[in-house]
Amino acid sequence: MLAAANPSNATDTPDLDRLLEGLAAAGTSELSFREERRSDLLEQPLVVSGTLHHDGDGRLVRRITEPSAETNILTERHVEIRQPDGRRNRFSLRRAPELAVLRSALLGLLDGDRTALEQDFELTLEPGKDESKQWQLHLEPRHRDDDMPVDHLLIHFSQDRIVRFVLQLTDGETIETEIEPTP
Amino acid sequence: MNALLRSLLVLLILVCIAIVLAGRLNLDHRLDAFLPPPASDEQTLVTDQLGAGPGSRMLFAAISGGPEEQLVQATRELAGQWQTLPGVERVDTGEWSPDETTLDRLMALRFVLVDDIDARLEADRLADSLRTRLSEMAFAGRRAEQLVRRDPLGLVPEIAGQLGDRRQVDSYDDIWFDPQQERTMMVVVATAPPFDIEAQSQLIGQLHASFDAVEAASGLDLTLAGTPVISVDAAARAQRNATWLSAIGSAFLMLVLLAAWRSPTLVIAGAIPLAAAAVCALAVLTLLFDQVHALTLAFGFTLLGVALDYPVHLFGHSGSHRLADAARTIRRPLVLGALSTVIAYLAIFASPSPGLSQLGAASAAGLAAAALTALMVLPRLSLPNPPPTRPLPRWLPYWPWLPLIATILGLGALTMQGESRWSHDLSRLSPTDPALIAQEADLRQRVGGDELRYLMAISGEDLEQVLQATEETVGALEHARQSQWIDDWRAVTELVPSRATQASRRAGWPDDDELRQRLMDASEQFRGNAFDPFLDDLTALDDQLPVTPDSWAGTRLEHAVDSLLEQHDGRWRSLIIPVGLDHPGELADWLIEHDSPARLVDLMHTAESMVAEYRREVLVSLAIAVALIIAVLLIRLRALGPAARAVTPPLAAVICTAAVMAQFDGGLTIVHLIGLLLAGGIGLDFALFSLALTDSAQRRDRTNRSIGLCALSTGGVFLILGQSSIGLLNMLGQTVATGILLSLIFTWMTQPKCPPTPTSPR
Repeated sequence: MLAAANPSNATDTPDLDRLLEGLAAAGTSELSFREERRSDLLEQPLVVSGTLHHDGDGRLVRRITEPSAETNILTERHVEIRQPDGRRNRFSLRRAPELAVLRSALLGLLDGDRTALEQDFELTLEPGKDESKQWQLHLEPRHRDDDMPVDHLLIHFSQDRIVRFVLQLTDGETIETEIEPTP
Repeated sequence: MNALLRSLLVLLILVCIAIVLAGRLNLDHRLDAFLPPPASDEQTLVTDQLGAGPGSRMLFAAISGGPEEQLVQATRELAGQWQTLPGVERVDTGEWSPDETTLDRLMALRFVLVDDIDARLEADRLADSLRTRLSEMAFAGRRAEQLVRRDPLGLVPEIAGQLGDRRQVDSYDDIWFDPQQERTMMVVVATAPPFDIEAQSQLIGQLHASFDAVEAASGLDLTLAGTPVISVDAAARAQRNATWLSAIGSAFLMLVLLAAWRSPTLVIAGAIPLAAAAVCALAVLTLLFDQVHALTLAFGFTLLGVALDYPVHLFGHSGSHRLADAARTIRRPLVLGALSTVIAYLAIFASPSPGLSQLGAASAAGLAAAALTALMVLPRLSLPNPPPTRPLPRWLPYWPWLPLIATILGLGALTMQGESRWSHDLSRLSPTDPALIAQEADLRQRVGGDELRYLMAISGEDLEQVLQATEETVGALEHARQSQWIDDWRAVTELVPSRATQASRRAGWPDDDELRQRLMDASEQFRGNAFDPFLDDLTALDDQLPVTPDSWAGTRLEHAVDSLLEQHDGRWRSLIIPVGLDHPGELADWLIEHDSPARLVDLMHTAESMVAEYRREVLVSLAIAVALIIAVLLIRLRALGPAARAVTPPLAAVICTAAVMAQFDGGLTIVHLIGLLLAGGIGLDFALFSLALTDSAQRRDRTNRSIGLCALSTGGVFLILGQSSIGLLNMLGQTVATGILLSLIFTWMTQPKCPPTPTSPR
């Protein structure tokens, strides 16, 4: 998966190109994710968990197991929701702009495509706040309009793999997702 | 003032009067106005559905020629604009997203619109519902919270899903797409019935204009199909066709008469009886009827074409004498012929069909006026005599037995044809473009639309009883679904349950404290106060007024209720529309066997049987007319022999024409019967003139020229009409032309030879 390149030293100067090369060198593979969303309706944050992977055709596939099973297939323009009973529905990604941001960011990172990332985001790579997360990449969407609810996306790396990302929405909501390779 | 100016003046005055009278007519375009009054609930349903049923008011729209995103945006914008047009009842694009008013109403009434309340509130089901709400929140985040708070059980999306069309169509962004993802599709339901051509044409124009104005639709293509599109196109084609053929026919007529009379004055004067006929016909319609059917005018003026024969006979028998003398000469056969035809039309006037009754009244009055005008007005205009003519050679043999043999053969042919002598194909009467029909079928199939051929109907005087009977039938339809006879159905009780059902459902909901506890038990993730808005609504349920048909007024669902529930003459009628009905026979039998309050009505079969019944009534009217005509002839001619010689040729012509058209024109329709009536009237005139005015060589010559000229002019015009691609005109034209030709042949071939002219002894 996201195979470690040469072990990175937290004190090294961050190098985005080297980071992206490392990510791309890992090839496509499946990641497990655990996402938390806070809501005034809920006692505890809403946990959404499952797996995600890049299918090589420009599609990010999220297989959700919790809170209930469904599959989201994110393409460049739409998201298709597939239910276990076979029902399908497709929407434009404009109706879920945070997913559009997530897709662009993750695919750009997993492909190691800096050009694609810089087309959609302003990138700032910084040292991580703690040892477990060596680097954090701040992605701010370039294309902002009234329909863009995402303020920024913060991706945390450790040992040349993505370990966490935090989606900050403009209404104050924060969606935090932990990532680890699927065994 | 010379004769030409006098004739022109008289004609102009008559035309002006006719225009004024025509302007005062209140036209009725309803198809059912030309049918007899319905004699059963099924027939009433057919005429109502034909007139204004939802299936006949559907237009299908397809947008293509761009990427998916553009198609979706254009479709949404266009649907929003179309929904505001006054001629549009609703627009379906795939996404059934209620507007604010409709959503509020659904939210307010949701507790009594769903069933199986106990099952919904079981622990497992509640847990499932709340997990689904969590999934929605996982996808949409805070955008979903407000709806989750107010509707944690997802009642409104469930009801909306049931109310939306049960169509299994591909969609993208909740917009219907064809399988190739190249076209979006919409269904537009018009408010006007399909035969209101003016309203439909206006609507279609507005739909196109809106499309052109939508910026998102720039570069895209719009295709419209459906019954209203076909109707408007058919009306336009009919008008173009009729106008073109009428122009050719009129030009032909004028050329023939000019060639025969070589006098523009006589041609203009010859039109006066026809104009007088039109004036009298319009006057009678204005005086006797509040509304006049459009088809009455179309057929009526066609039938009045026989009025042109009267001046032909008058001028043909004038020779070198005054027209007044010619009028005296032809008076007896002309009056007898006109009287016989008037009697036939009066028999039609007695028909229970309002359209036919109007036709009979107008034609009878018109022909009477034409005959009187020819005999009493034309001779007073000091018209010139037509030019002298050379004697006609006799080129047909004298075979007096021919009509009788032909009658026997014709009757035999009709008998052998059996039921196939009649046509039940209603589409023959309409000038439809096959390409438009194919387009309609393609788009209807792609949006999963069903042909609205079958309906279940329940009627009664009490609304509550009708609703309960509907619910009982809907419950029974589950068996039909399990037997795979039917996929689904739409019934008004989805939106207006009976009061008994509403009371039962209200009682089925627990109080708010109990439900709060159940919700908390079903999901520990939600806070205790998360669903307060939902529970507040539940508390208010007891104070809520019952749902009635008026509860949906002002919402997008108002028309859905109106199309499935109506009140007429103190009786309520509820309709259940089957979806995906594959075994209508089995369902119909099962409903009868189980004493269901509903019956499955096959609209097409009922319409065909109505037409057949109607045809029988017309035939009875015509048979009575023939009997009366024979009686009149017997009285006037005072002997059986002359009466038989008068009746036999036209009767033979009518029967042979009927046999020919039944065999070669796909079976007889009511249009053929009207054509046969006209041909019979013209043929009777031929025979009466032949009987009365062939006792000398000179009279025979004049009579045969007149008859020949009538056949050429009137028959020629109908032959031209018979070339139309429009079923109505084609059938009528060919029937009348054939009947006139056969009448002419039979009349000439039954004329005995003249006695030799006595010469003076040397």
